[in-house]
Amino acid sequence: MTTSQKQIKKQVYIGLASALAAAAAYGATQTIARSIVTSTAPASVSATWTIFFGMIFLFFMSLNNIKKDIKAPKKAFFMMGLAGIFSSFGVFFMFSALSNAPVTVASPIGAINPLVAMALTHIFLQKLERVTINMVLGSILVLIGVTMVILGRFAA
Amino acid sequence: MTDTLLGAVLAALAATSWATGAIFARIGMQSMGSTTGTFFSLITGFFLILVIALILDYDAMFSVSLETISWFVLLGFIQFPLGRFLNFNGIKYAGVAPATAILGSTPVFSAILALIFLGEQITLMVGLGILAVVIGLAMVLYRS
Repeated sequence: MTTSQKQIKKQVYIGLASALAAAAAYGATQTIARSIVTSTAPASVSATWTIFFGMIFLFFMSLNNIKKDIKAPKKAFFMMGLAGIFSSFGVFFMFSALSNAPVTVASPIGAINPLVAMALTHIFLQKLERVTINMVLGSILVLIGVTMVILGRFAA
Repeated sequence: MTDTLLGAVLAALAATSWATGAIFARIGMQSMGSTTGTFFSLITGFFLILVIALILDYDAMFSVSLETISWFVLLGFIQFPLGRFLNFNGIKYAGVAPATAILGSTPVFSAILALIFLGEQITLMVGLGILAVVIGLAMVLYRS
């Protein structure tokens, strides 16, 4: 294995570990939000204040890199802006879904997100990455498992 | 359209929005670091949510207690410098498909934390669900 291949492999491991840590962080947020925030402020207010403080934290985190990254093509900023808008729309749609339908309906449907992402990756990002059959089958199993966890918690 | 059907359509829209956001993030971070990328994604997201909050809950926006604000600070720290930054880091280095599949397991982490900190019981269905998620993640991670 060449040094470059080792470097790529290391980056992939860092990426996978990051995604796992992100899932744990989002899981913690859901637990805290359910027990505290939802009873004290409306969803849109909670989301605004939470993003505001998150933005301040990230400003300080990105201070070291911002000088270098500011030279990135305008397209990159545009794409990140769109990523932010779509992510926020996702949160807004999910809160709205939960106010209309039971958690047992809305949450499992929201959990199809990885399958939609894989379909979009296969259509638009073929040059950047490959979607394997293992990934699709694994994601379907994750979706089934998540649905069982949500239904099981709701029944209990 | 019944409320439940409307809720289901909105949940599907949420899933599509998150997936589309991940695709844009992957393209954007080809020429930008994940910390700066996450920061810029938050700026646009913040203004969008701010407008929605001002339209829907103007009074509630500015009548939040100091105690609640301190919880927002904690949530803001966990959700963005940890959650979204690490999520975008995963998308940048591992790719959209494996990173979003792993992120799909969030409800399981939520259930495990609720078990530890809120004293929730694990039923047979929840236990089997967690097992299915672990096997599914192993399949996604295998040679990814």
